[in-house]
Amino acid sequence: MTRKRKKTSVNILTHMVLIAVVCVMMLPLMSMVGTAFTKHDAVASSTTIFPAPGEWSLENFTGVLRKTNYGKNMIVSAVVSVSATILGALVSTFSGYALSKFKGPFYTLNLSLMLLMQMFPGMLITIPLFLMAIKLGLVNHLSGLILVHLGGNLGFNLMMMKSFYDGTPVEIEEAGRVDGATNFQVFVKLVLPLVKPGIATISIMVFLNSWNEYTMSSLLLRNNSLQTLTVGMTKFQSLDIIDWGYLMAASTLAVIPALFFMFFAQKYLVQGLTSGAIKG
Amino acid sequence: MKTKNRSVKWFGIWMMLPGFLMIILLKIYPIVEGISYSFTNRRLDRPVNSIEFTGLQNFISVFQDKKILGTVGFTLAYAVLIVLLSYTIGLGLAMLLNRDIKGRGIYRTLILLPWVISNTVTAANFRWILNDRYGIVNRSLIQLGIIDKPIQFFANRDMAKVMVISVGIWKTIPFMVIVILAALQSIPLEYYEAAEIDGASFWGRFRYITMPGIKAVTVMATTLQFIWNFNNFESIWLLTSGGPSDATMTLPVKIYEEAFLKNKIGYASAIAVVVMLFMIVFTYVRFRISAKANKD
Repeated sequence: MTRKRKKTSVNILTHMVLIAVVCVMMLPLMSMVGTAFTKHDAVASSTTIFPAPGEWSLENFTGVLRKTNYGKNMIVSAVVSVSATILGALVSTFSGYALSKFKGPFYTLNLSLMLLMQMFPGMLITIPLFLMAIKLGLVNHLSGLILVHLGGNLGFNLMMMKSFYDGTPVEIEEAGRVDGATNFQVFVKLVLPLVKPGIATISIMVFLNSWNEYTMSSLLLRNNSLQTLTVGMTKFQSLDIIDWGYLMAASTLAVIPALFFMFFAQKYLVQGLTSGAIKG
Repeated sequence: MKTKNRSVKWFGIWMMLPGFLMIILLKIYPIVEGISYSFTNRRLDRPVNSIEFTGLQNFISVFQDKKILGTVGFTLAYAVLIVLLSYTIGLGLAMLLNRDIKGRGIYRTLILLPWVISNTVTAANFRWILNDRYGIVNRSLIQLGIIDKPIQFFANRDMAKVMVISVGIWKTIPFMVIVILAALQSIPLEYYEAAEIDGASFWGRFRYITMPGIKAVTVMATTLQFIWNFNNFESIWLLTSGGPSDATMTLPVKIYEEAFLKNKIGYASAIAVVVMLFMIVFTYVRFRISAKANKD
């Protein structure tokens, strides 16, 4: 009986600590949402996290979408992220299969190049990528940024897909070949259905990484109406007077995809997060 | 049968080809280019045909730069403190979440959120709540009578350092919690039951069951996070741009500044190459140590 009571009190304590930590960690995000929904004129005088009863409003959202380029920025980000996701998923679905199922010096070379790549500081590659884009005339073109985002996620995608293919049984493929299916048919009809979770994981990861990326986006897209939302958002801050209401509305719009995946596809997100650390 | 084998072989090569081409074009070639810049006086604002080979001149300048030592120091402090503190907090939270309590999923979701939020949004949010005039933190502290003047979170040198590190910890905790939680769940419950029967205390169980059980993940997570935070550019750039007066300057921010604001491509690349060499040595030593520890 005392043991049970001790357990309940420990559980209550656990909840209290967790609630306190979560509140502190959530403070910036709660403040963002609260400010975004405050009347534009009341933002500077508001003293609470969430607006007072009479001060709720969508003004910041309508303002940021109508009066600034942010709506365009969001479309640019969507186009870049979706393209990078589709290309990234295609490349790693094919090449991850080859990395997993074939042995030989060519595949070993690819694997070691990929591991080597993980050790290079991002800045060492940022500079030459920027100069290459200038040389090829890809500055201010979405295709340049899409390629860069594809490259940025390449190592992770290939390793991730490889590990999913590693888990598929060879017997299925052998059976398919005995039945006279071509290599490609075996791959598409028998193996691909087994790695759907892998494709979902890398697609979500590439989409979010591309949607959230700032550095290369700011270097490669220099035209005001053709910028990603991460760059568009910093425009609200570079002015002498920061429009906090607009900035928080823009931030709130920017986190919608992340929240969506977090609540509806968390399994894949967690998979993407942990696989790198646990499998090494 | 032989033709069949050959067709399988070619199939593999065709499948590998897109990935291989992307690795070469988007990774290997740029890195080789970047390394080659470090031996030249290349600048963004001068024509390409004026580039000259300058040998090790850029590297000599890096080591003669008096301010670089402070930058190296803060970069190390930044990465080490974030790893240590986010690991400690993450371990605590993971152990709480590993208990059989109600609402575990909700806590986990909320704790994970900082990890999927972009650096631009993170920086904007923290600059807003820590704003000296309108920020909720300063306003609450003044209302509660704890301070009379707003704290200058980003204008004061020491405060700015504390703030960029705190934001880094905030961003790293989700990773630590999730990987440690996964490792904790893989420790067999029987170990704890046996220890309890033997009368082991909480600290005894923690030291002899929990910590050894998550050792592999600890090594991996701390190593990766050290490398990532050491190379992190966006988080600091968007919060303070390395300021005030270089107080929060780290090597990646310095490289960016030299390359894109001062146009010194050659010099910036030389710093990046030095960082790369450090990373290679660090990774090698780190894994040698853990390999040795595993053998013993």
